[in-house]
Amino acid sequence: MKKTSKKRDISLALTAAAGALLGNTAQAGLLDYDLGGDDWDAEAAFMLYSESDSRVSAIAPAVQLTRTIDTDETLTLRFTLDSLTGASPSGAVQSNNAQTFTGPSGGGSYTVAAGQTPLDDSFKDTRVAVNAGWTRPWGEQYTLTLGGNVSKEYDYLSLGGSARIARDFNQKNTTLSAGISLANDTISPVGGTPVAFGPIKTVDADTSETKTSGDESKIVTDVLFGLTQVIDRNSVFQLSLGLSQTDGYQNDPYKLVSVVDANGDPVISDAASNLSMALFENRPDSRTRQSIYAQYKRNINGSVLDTSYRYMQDDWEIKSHTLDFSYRMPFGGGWWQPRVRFYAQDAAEFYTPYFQEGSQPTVGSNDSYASADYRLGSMETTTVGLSYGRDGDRPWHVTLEYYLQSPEEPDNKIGALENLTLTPEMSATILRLNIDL
Amino acid sequence: MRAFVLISFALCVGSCSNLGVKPWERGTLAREDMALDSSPMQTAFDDHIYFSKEASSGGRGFAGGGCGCN
Amino acid sequence: MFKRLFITAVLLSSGTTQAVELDLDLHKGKVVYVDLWASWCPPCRASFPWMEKMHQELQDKGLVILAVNTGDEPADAARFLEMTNPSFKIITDPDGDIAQNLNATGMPFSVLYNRAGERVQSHKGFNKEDAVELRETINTLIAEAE
Repeated sequence: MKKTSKKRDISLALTAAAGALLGNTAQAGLLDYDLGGDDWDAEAAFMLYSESDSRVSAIAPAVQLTRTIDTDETLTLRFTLDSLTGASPSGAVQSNNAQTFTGPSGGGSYTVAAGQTPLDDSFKDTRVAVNAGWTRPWGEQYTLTLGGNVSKEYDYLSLGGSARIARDFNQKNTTLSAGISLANDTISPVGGTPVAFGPIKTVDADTSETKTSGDESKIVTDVLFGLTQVIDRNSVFQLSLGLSQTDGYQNDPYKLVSVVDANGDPVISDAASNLSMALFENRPDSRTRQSIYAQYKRNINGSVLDTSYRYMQDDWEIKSHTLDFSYRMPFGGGWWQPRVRFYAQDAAEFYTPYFQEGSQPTVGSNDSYASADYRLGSMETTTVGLSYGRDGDRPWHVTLEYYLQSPEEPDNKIGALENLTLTPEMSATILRLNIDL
Repeated sequence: MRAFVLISFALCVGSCSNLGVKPWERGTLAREDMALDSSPMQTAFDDHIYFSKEASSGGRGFAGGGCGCN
Repeated sequence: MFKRLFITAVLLSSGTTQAVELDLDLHKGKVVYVDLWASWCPPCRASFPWMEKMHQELQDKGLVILAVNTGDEPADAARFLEMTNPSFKIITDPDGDIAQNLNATGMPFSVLYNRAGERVQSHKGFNKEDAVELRETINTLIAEAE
């Protein structure tokens, strides 16, 4: 059942009631040949994200406005609000004993029970993002898309812009595109920027040697080349090549690497407060990535199959594969769409679950790299989801997804760590609602 | 690998002229669910989640396909 | 170029005419604007109010609009026509024969014939600028004596 897309329709200056009226009134509407004009189309979306074990939860409302300026020119504005609560692994190891850490948020120090994964002490963070895009023809053969975006969190600001041109060949059966985007990200870590491999200190200690003040920043440059090819009436294929270069501060200023003794127990740096020895991580200043992405969509008797694959590699030795399948099946006045996504990545070269006492770099060694952030480690993730949507004047759809993350446990763990799970599985449930207003 | 991909790109502009449809045969391709990115908001949400939880991001483009009008 | 053809007329309830080829003989002496459209093509939909205006203003001065529906599901086209209720002539081209004969290179696709039946211009696409330019060309052709 085909949906008459209100979103794509240039304003015919007809009211919704016009269809129900006979003859004359509908004709009167047709005399207004104002194309576009004040036609704004809106789509609202709402996402709820919740991780297992009381880790991160997020609520994210968003709204997208599309203005049809002409049949070949559109302006899109998207506003997103992300409200995050909860904690994520700090990178420090589990232990058979209770541990104490200090952190930038809240009261300063927090304890972690035996056998528990240390999490960043709880934070509340709100992110606001605005994205704008303008698409218009450029000369006879080209289409130009310009974009801008701003994203702000309490300790972070990202400003970016992009430009893409596309050219059609073979009566628009083949499209080649090239795009570039630039982003400048500034981070102002709470409590100051940590010195590489500086240890966390007790609450009242002097941090002048382990923290510096001032902002850190990085610049991300992305280049993307795309080829889209219509194969037949029912299928289309896309291939993209991407290159990405990031220069600047890429550390996570809140992540730690534990120092353990020969028995696998965390070294205690301050006996009075039972403070574990944990060092701030350090990552390279440069990251070069290449990616290749292929997508195939096919209409099969009214149902739509969407498959895609992405391979990505970088000079941090991370290699990843992403495979995504979805199948939309029309049903009555709506549709069902199951979806499956598989993801696998190799560990970064400098992924270091912990330091054995004596092997850690000295404080301030900027050219040594180590991070225990499990998101840089070897892992597989699986997402399964189901969407249900309804067509009509105000199409909407709801999606429920389950995301399972299975990091690979480090091998050759020493001493007590052998019997502890340093990188436990994480699962999250995601609920989304989208409405075309 | 990179050479292979670049050559595919080049070949396609030439030989892909055998593939495709007439401009008036794009009814199915014009459907919203046949667009390369049928739900930009969904894609944006997805990108944000996976960027926060995994070490890879981006790499996708969306020009072309669809109704091919104008 | 004068196209000498014949019509297979099957009148459908919405007042459309099914055809394999266009018969321009019927409109000798008039300026003919042939427009190829489909309900799934947004610029085609956008051109309807403009075509209606052209029709209402210039029909008496000798403009004939032939809107040829091609590559469309009959139900979708019918739904669109019900909503817009145009007063100009709709012709259906279910197999794309007319589109093929006109050598359409895009959608929408329009062809203008002068009063002598000669094909003077074809145009691909439709936007605000096109609306103005096409109108000017039509006015010029209308002003020509036969």
